[in-house]
Amino acid sequence: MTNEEIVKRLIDSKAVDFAAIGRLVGELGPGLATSTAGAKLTLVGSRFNIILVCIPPAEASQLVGEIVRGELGQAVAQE
Amino acid sequence: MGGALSEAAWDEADLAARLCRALDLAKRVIAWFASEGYSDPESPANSFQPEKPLGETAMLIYAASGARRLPQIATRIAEVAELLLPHARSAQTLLNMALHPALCLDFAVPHILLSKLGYTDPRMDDFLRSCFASQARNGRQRPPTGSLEGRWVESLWTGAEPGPAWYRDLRSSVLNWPLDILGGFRDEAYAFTHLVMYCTDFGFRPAFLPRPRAVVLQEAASLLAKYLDGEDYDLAGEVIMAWPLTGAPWSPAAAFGFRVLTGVEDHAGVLPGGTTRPDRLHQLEGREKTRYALGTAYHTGYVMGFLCAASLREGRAPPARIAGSRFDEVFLDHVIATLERDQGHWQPELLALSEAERNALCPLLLDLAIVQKCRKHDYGAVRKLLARAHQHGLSRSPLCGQSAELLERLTAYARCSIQDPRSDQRGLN
Repeated sequence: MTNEEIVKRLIDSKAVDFAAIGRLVGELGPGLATSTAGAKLTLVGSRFNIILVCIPPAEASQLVGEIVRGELGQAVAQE
Repeated sequence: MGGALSEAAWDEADLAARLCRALDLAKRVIAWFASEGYSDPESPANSFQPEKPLGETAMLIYAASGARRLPQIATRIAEVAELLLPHARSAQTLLNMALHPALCLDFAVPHILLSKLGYTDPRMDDFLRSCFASQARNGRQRPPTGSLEGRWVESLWTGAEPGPAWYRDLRSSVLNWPLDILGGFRDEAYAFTHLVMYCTDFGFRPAFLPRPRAVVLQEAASLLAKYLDGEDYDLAGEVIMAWPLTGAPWSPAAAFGFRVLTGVEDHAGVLPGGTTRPDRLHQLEGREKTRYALGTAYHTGYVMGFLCAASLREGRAPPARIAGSRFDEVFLDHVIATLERDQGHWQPELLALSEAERNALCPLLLDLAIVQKCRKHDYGAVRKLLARAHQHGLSRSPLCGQSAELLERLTAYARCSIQDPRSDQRGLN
């Protein structure tokens, strides 16, 4: 099945309340990003946790953020 | 996604200057970390042993040797090689190989790559052969990526061409299956990018891939959207390498990604990664500041060097201008209006483009919008984006397919949760 066909299948399906699902993922999802156990399928015991492995967690890496012009270049080059 | 119809290539002198910057950085990295590595008690995850910069530096000059026709590159390769040699063949390195025969090829990476550059040492080869002959030489469990890295190093050492064992490992690797772009972790993306490096021998051999190159590059384009949004220039740079390393024409997305990275590098002085914390850098002074900056930023600086080295090969430079297929302007305006403005150094670069260049980026901008909306858990917006993209025949990217599948899984999740009493409280029913 091509990506276009998968998208069409989604569009043709009955819409659900994605806003409510988004709120739930926002509430429960970030725990996975900081929990090494979460992504390794060792969260067991509750129905919610088992299902949560299907939900992509946010990446744990940090943003570069605001860059001060030339500071890093000067720092690596100074004696 | 169509290839870039470039009229002119990126200025070779600029690519060479960026590679020279990385090679100059390498001299300092060897001076600071080749003996004892880097220890960071405040952020232990940043720490590394000497083998890491030694191996990466050897790979950098090996990759750069594809541009050795340029005198300024050749001179720097020789300077870095001279600094590396004593460490590559030190008593400590030999002892490590003797004590850990299953890792002997890993410890020998600098020696093998220096040998490829003409700095041979038959005595070292004899010693490596004795370690490699040990019965425990394969006594280490490796994932397919690690196994293929070992096969690449061994092929450089012995001169053997990739054989059936390569195919076997490749069929089990992330290059053979769609990568989990939205839910995957950084180590999986690294596996993807590193395998492209090994399967092309850093551009020295034709691409040796388990799936068609175009399919691999479609995934690379979607991965690029994810890492540009996340300001992860380490992975973004490695992903962009897929185009010059495989000899493919630069797509508009790859060309734009390269432009973003050069802008960030020019602004910071070195291409920064997320591990260098600006507040800590401000607080430090003198040698501690230099040590922290070098220890946390050298890897991303090297990535820019690798990327420019691959781009300096004949006919593999990025285009000076972004060009490609034209897309519906109404849809493009909708995608641009949907984009979040909260993060990403690509945003000012996008604004600086001509209308025609921005139009050619429509598929990348769609992927970026999907990544952003997924990051914010705004799945309703993802569905609307996919529906409009489908109307315009633009729902072809791996990210479109994977985000549609994500929404399908979440729909199934909502239905499964109807029987869970807590879901009532969460508004799912």
